[in-house]
Amino acid sequence: MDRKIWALIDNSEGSQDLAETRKYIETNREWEQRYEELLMLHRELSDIPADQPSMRFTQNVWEEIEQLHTPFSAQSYINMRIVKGIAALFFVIIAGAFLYGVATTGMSFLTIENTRKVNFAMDLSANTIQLFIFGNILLLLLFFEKISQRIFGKGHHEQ
Amino acid sequence: MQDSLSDHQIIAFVLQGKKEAYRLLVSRYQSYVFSLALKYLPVREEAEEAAQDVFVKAYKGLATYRAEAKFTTWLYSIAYTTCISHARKKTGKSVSMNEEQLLQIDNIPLLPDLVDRRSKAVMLDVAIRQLNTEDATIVTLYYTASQTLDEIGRIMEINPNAAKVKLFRARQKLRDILVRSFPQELQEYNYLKNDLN
Repeated sequence: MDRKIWALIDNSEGSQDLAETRKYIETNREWEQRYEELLMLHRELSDIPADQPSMRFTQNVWEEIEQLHTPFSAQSYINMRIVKGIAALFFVIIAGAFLYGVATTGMSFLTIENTRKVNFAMDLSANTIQLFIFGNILLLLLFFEKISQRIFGKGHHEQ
Repeated sequence: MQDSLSDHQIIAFVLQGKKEAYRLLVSRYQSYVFSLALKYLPVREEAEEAAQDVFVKAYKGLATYRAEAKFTTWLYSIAYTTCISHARKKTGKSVSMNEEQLLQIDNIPLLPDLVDRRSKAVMLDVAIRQLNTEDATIVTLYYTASQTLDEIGRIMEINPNAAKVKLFRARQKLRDILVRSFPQELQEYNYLKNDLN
């Protein structure tokens, strides 16, 4: 009985169950009395005021907080462009290493029609490799430039 | 800055660097956090210390707060874990009220115009203090801090159904304590008739 009445007071059950409980309360004296009692207890509990801390409470908290830095939202200092730049750099390096590996192993296989032999071996001259390394260095420099811009730019902004 | 600002607006101000806005949140919720802390640390000074710690922790973690949940639910979950850890540090001290404290409450002098309101409040306060910490917490969160069962579940890391069952049990215990400890007063208030007749 109590469980059903509390559910009615809290409005925490389906409308059909609540209607059933209401019906009991309307037709049964015992249910009605218990409902009144629990409702009174519920109202008294709702009226209990919160305890008040001392007058200096806010000031004490404030004194501690004054010594702390402003909390920064992670979104404000994570630059998605930099994250994407790092991802692109890794992708280029991995793709380059893979292509280099394929090109130097001399791996070959026959096509489905068995008519033509495909050979992956390429003629990687010293110039091609140097060009690839140069491209990577260029990407690295661009990446570090972005990071330094971000760090020094922010430092300047804070001053 | 006005007191009518929503919690989310205040948080946005703080994150933009306007630290002073945080004072508004502290003054808005200090009594609720303190009430919760008192359930774990009955000595007021210790409860105040824990409540201060809650607000400092909340400030430090403000950037991690996500607006999907109410700010109060987030704050009270910090309060819940902080109070538990403070209470653990104070092991050996009883959380529930002892006989001497109960006698002191029984003898509180009451002004005539405050008798009804105050004695009911004192009665309930004494009864709540006789509950175990978890039951007292759930009653405080539901009634004083106006949290829903879902929110209580989130704060106490239990599912909403478990919160509902715990609240039911806590209120039943509270009712039993009232009937046992204050039979005369309850009769005067025409309260809990079934058990007294």
